[in-house]
Amino acid sequence: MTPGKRKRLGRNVGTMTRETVFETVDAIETESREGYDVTRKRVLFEEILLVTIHRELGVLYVTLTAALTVTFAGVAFFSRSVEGVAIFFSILALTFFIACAVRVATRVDFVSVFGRRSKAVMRFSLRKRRAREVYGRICSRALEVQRAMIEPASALPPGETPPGPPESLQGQQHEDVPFTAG
Amino acid sequence: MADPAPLHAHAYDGPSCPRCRARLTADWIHSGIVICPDCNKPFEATAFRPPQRRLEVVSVAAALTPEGANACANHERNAAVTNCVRCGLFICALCNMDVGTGPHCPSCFDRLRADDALAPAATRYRDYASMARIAMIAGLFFSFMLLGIPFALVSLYYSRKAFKQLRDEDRSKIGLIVVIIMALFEILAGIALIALMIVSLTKVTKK
Repeated sequence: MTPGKRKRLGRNVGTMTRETVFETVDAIETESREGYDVTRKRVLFEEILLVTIHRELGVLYVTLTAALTVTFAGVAFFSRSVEGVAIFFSILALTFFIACAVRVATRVDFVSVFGRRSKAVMRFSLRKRRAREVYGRICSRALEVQRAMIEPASALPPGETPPGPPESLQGQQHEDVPFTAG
Repeated sequence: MADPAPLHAHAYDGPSCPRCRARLTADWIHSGIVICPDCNKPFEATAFRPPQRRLEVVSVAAALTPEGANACANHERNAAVTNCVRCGLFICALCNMDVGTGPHCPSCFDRLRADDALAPAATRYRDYASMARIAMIAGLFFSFMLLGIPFALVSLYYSRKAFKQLRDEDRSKIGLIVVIIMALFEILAGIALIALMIVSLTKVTKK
């Protein structure tokens, strides 16, 4: 398990998947759940090849909610003689209709991160700005980490000089210490 | 004996279209709006060219010491850079398996990983916090059947494990504390219910 703080970026909850995605110091971490077992995968920032963002309708969700709307509206229509039952099924139909209409209007934003060995996906149903923020954040972190790998770690910013030895050691001659196998 | 059913795991195959999951070749991996060659639908992408991590492997002959260097136990031509913290074997940069728990040789790393003794290398674990929460909720539901106490005890048992897990990961424990309080409340409520039953039964028998 990864020690240290991690920041939750988003989730990927579908018909067959239940994943939570986090940002750690050096990677994007995905936790997928199967019952009480959690499987953890990482996409290291230094291995990211492609980050994508796109918007999808989610045909299965829309079809299902539309079908349920029609079904419950039908039941409400045919049971209109019994007022209580008709109202109950009308409310159910309206709930599914609203869910369907909201999905058609807003759609789902997907942010996908492809690494060399694994990938991570996040879905954002309503928070579009958040999706864009996460996309930008992952891109900037990947760029930062990969740039740091190319540039030597010891490189100092222009205009800065490396720190000298402590004053107590200045002026002393370095003596060669003979190698002893230990 | 019949062969076990094959695993239907989808191996990761590199970047693919996020819509249709068709594999993208190098020509299609670029920044900007990309139109998938397979489904002809667009998506916005940012491509990266990650540099390969380079390991500095020094040969024994080139090691800059008066007497040469110790050779790696697995690669006799490579100079050892460290030794395994578990078995003490001299290992070169290629064999150094360090995931933040000190240098390990590949065989020790495999053994420790198989025993789940290397926490940073673990990829699968049990979510005890969820188990504690579910046991607590089940206790609430079945408290009228006097099952609140056993479920609460189970919840406290898993809470103890979850607490250690969350502490190791440095994660928030607020949710778990709520579960523990609720489980304790369930135990008290269960004891009160049993006491009430005993009192009422003794009253009935006296009459």
